[in-house]
Amino acid sequence: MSRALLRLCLQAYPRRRRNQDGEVLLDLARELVATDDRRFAMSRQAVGLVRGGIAEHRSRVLGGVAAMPWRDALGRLVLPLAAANATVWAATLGPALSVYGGPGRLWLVIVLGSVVALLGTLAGTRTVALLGAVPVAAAAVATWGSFAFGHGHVRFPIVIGSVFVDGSQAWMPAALLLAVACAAGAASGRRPIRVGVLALTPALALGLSAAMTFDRYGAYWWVSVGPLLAGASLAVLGGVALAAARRGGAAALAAALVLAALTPALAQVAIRLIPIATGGPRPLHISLPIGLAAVAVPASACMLLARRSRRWAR
Amino acid sequence: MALREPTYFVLAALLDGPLHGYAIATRVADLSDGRVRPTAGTLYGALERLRSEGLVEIEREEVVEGRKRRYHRLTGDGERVVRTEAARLRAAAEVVELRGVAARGRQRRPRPA
Repeated sequence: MSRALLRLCLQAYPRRRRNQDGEVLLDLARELVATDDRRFAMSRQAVGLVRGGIAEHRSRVLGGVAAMPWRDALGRLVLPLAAANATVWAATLGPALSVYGGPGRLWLVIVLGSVVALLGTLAGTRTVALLGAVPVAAAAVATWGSFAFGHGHVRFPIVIGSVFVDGSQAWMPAALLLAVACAAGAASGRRPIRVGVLALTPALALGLSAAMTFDRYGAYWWVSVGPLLAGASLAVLGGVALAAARRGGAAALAAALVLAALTPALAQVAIRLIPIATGGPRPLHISLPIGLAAVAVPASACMLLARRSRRWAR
Repeated sequence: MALREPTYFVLAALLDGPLHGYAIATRVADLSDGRVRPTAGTLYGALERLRSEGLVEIEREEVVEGRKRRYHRLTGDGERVVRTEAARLRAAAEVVELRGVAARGRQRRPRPA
């Protein structure tokens, strides 16, 4: 039983590592269990194996990214970003179909662009990847700016106090990063089919389940998509920020991206007296300073931090 | 850069000579008075990282009672790093210890009349 459990936990490691070192690891874990007189010795070793496996996967995907020159780092990040981008937007299919009675043009541009960017990245074709990523970034910037300048609707709301914040705005920095990464490193060769299947699976699974259950949106889509979008954005950018902070690498970029993701929500909550994106356009004397501030805060933070980051300046 | 505690004790354990994974884990527990007890996953991850940084290398592999064992040893860089860290910790400890002696001395000194 214990051997079976430890062998199961060993599956958390990448296959190559399992084949190479699996028996050594299993024997070590079994010896430590056998000589540990404390309670939960078995579960400690089992959890330790799972944590070790996850750490190994993480370092294979993101390992050394923060310590790399920025162009190489973006080249390494491009596939995880493209996969995350497609997954995030596939998750919005449910509300797009059920709440809004069909996808809007902007939404279609974002979703199709995300799929094209992912396929282009998998094929290692820079032109195709850029063809998908640039419209996504443009649409995301338009959505991000709409709360201040236009009369965009809060399509994926998060309620903070009495203020509706659009969760999709938080994705803007990640979409921009994807476009830059596609330009910098997408043409680094075709990915193996196994990697392609892994990258496409989350987006396909979420998209299909949303398409099949959209008529029961209220019952099944209990996780509101607004917080999901914002959460996914912050998780991606937070991961980059954490890696950068630990290695002392491109912290400027990461910190600025996280700040940019948070800024629209913070700005909207801070000016809660002004009704945001609920209907008609707001007067220019109100929307202009808000929009400029929303852009200026992350931009100046980026410049300030970039000056401190030698790696980023290199 | 300061070493993390488990890494420090893994390197310290290997100062005595090449050891296999289980022996490293028990030696680390002994050296740290049971404070650091790495799991197989943690120890393996640490050894892999130290190997990629050139601080540790694999000496040999053997099978003992049906168990596969891999022996690791410190490289010259590894020994230098752990000794530098020990010196750093000693210097940091002295800052506090010397202050403790000075403070006790002040307490014992009789007040002027």
